[in-house]
Amino acid sequence: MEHLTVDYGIDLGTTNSAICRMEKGVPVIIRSDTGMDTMPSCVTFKKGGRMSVGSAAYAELAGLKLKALRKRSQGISGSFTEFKRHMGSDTTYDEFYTDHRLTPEELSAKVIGSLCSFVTDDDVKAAVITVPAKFTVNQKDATLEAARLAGLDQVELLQEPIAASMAYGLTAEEKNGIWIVFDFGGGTLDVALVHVSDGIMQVFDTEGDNYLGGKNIDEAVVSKILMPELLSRHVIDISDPVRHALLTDALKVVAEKLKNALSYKEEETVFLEAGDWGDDDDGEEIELELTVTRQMFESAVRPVLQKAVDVCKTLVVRNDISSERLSHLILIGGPTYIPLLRQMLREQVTPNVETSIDPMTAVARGAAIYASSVALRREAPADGDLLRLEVSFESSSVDTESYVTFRTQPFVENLQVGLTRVNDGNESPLLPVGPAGALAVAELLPGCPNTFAINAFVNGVKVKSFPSEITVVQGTKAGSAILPYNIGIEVFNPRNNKCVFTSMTGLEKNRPLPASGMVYGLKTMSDLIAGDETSAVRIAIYQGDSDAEGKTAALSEHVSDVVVTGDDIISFIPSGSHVNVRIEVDRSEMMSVECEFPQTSQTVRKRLDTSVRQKSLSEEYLADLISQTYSRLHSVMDSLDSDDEVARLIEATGRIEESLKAGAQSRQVEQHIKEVMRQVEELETGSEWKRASNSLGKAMFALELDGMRHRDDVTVTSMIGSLKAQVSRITGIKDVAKARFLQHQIEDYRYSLNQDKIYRDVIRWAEADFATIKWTDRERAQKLVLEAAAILRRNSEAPLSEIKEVTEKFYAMIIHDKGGGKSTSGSGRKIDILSI
Amino acid sequence: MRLRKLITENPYRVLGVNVGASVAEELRNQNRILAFSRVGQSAVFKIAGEEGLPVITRDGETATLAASTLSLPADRLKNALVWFSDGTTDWGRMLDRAVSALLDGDIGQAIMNYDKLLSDDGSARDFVEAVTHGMMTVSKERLTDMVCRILTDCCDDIAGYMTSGRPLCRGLLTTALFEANCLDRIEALERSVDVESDEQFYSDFEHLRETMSSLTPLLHALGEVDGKESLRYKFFAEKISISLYRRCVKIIEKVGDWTWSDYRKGKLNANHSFICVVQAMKFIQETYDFAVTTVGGLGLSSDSMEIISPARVMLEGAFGRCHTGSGAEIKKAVSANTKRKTVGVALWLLVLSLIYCLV
Repeated sequence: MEHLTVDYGIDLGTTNSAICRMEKGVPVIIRSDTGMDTMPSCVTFKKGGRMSVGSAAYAELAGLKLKALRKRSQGISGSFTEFKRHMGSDTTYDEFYTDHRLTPEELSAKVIGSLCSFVTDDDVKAAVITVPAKFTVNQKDATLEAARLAGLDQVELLQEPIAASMAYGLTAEEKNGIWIVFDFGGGTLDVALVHVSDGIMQVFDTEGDNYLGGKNIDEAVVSKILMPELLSRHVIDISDPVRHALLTDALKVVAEKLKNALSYKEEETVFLEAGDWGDDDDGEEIELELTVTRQMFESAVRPVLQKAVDVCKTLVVRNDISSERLSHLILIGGPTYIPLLRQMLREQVTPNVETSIDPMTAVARGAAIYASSVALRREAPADGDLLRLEVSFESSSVDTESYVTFRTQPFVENLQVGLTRVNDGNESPLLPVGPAGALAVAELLPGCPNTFAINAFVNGVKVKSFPSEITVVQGTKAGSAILPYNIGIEVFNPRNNKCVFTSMTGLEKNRPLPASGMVYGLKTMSDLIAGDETSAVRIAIYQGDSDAEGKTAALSEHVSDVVVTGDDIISFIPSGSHVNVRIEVDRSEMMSVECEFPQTSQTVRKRLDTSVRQKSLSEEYLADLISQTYSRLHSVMDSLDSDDEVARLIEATGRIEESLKAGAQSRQVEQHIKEVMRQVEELETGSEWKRASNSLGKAMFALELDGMRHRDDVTVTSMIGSLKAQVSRITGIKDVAKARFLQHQIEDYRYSLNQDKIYRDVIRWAEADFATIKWTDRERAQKLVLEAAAILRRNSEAPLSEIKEVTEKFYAMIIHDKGGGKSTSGSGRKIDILSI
Repeated sequence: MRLRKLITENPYRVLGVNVGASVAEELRNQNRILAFSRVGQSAVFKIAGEEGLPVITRDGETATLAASTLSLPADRLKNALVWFSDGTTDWGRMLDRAVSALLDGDIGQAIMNYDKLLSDDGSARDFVEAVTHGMMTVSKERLTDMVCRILTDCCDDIAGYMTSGRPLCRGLLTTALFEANCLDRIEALERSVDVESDEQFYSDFEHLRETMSSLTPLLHALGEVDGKESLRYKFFAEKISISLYRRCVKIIEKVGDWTWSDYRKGKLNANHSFICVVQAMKFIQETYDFAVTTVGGLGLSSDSMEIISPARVMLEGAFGRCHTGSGAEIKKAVSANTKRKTVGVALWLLVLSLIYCLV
């Protein structure tokens, strides 16, 4: 089969996978060996090393898990699922029957290989494989490795929400608006905001959780419904972690079926057959018959679903988008069938929840659509009579004209090319192809794939060409994938003595791929001696969320280190030398790094090694992180006026601690605790602004209250308005120094508005407490105080002009405490009117 | 120069579109540029604002870079602020006038037109909506901040413009520009007005004059931007007036101490000649006049005058103590000094002769 472009898209899911191919501009799902659109991402091994993948493996899954439970041996199950969740880590699976340690990449390769085998009329050597948007670079690298192990020569990765939006956009009638793609799969959650304008779709922000998916729902069903019920009827000691894990594993298979059934039915009865589940600790056969209602199910899984909805809300709030502006919320992934989830999304995000698209195959379809825009890196078939053309064109367009360029290498004299639209036979005029090439304009029929036959003539004689036809889909256009994270490097900041994340200009989150970024003006911290491999400069590359800038780099995801050693350079580079770092990220987010040392005119280029698998983390390490978080939260609580935010973070840390105890994946716990720690750091550094902002807000509020007494005074109202505008401006730019300065101004003005009242209060206070006040000249002071008091008795609202002089005179005679004891008036303000 | 580059190499221009063009148009142009460049040709576009600008390269690389630059809404806004619209909308016309003024080097006109755009809620909102295609909402303050940063980064001397004496229009942008470019200077200069100095009083006064010659225009600009009734203006004007008075008091007292050992008794400090003392008195007068005139020029309100009056009283006191404008008094003091000196010399000669006689 002739291909100009990759054309195959693979959705490699945690629970289910699918493969799709573009056929004349239409994505067509390739059915599995059992005639299904999707295939379970499941691999099993049995005695004799017999391996099953997909539906066959899934059919054996329940039995194998029960066997392992009965034998109380994890390895004996020979069944492997959810390995996508461990991609990029150093997790291995012991295969009992072949005595082989399998990596998640190897298992994924089996799935990919199986999917490709469903294509019987072609040899699949290139594909676009989808990955969660929030997959780290290491996880993506692992996916590429899996594809390579499966025998694919050319692979590009595509983010799942982008694939889904492409699939939806192809058939959507509305070509404008803002969509949310809510991709809730078996193991991961991705939410993307897609802007659609005249059919052009562009993802402009993403959010997600790599450890939140249908499997978490299954775990909730097990922990809140099935396990408690089982333990209430049988004596089973689950303090043994192996037994607990085996039982949970086996119950998860039941839970998944229950979950699927309750998406359509109001209740479902679970049968755990006697004999299948072994015996309990009293020697009785474990069995269970339980009717689970939808209400019970929803109660158990609501927290998990709420977490997913909260991720969606975070994205919407961050982009300041109201629910009215959201035209569609597109549901992708099996768990989105759950009615409660749809209801929660309608209530909390937008009522425009879209259910027309098949959530199980949309990602694969979208991957294939994207694949039709990726040129195939392939040699033309070896045929001496075939004219090889270099043809460039857009595989999709929202315009009714599309440019097609033709070139030949080497140049062919007297060559002319033309296009014939296969749909209706419409022919374009022939164009001569010169040494620089030829540019043709293809007229497109709207709203459908347009296939054009290429007509090539040499010296007036028609010749066969490769390619012989091209297809352009009119009506929709997908933008490129975007960076899901900021890419940056770790830089030592001497001001706060921390190694902080510094993002690279050009590699900000949401930049379209491919992209490149630079950081200028860094300095080396040690000598680099040419030829000495032990002298080295390490540049640590990180990927961070929106809140990572300026925070401790270790709280972001470490991608890899670029190490420049003495072997890479030709002359000595002393410590303190300038170094400029440039990183290029391709469409699959693979990176290459260039380090320029301008003072010595040396440049070192390196491909980033992302093949290093991330090590599993110990429980002690994670517990220590949690403990650190608690203590930092308690420290920061003292410096804040309001501790609502701290309370929220303490609660979040508590939930993470519980998940760790419940056996959650270590990477998942680490990711979540680091998110909290970044917010703690934000509080620690941001508390200064918060304090200044709170004080400023309070001062302004107090002024406005006092200003109400003068609301008929135009000067006063105008001044208050002006100050309020300044507050708004400073709040916008978050400048602490300016905020404090403005606060003083506001307080001074408020004082000036209340000055008469303050003076009157001072007189009353001096009269009442005369005996206890220390005076420099008590006799004279008494005369003055009595005089001032007399004025007030005549007129309790005596104006400032009448009381100012006498008040200031007696006030100057007060001996103030050295401790800075304030002479306070009713306003609580220290009276420094006489401080000049 | 930088500003001109920002305009002439604007990514919108590279893509051959005006500000507010649709996503489809930008993409269409990008594809056209790519296609043309593949066959060694250059795509040409007719867009508003290009007349008179130098020719730019439109090829695959520049088009891709331009599209990448315009991929984030915040960057779209920043670049849109320094490129032309198609002139069919209100916000577009304001923007066009601002950008034209920038190209003509007329900062004042540019600021005025940007201020009009920023102050008009509807126009500002429409502008943001058109540029970001609804993907971003931005407050007026943040938008003002963007313009302020662009002008501050790319214009050579905003502070110089603001203190040039040209009338300043009051508005969000003018205030933001002033705060970004001049406020720190005022604060720093204010702190240096009343500073203890060991310098000789002429040098001291010259430094003070220089400081005030930098500070006064800034203060006047603040008065124009905020209004002389504003709290901020009053705050600075009062502080600076008080500091100025104090510094002048110190200078006057320094001169006075140099001149007189006891002014009330008309006793000079040393063997100053008549001319010297006259010069000293002139200098004191000059210092006093400088302080009074400078503060007088600030246009302080009556309540501000009341606040600074104690410092003024100190100045008057110092002036009164150290200065005399009467030539006769000076002559008298110099003569008294000369007499004392002559008597002293005579006595000394007498003592010497007595000693000689005795010997």
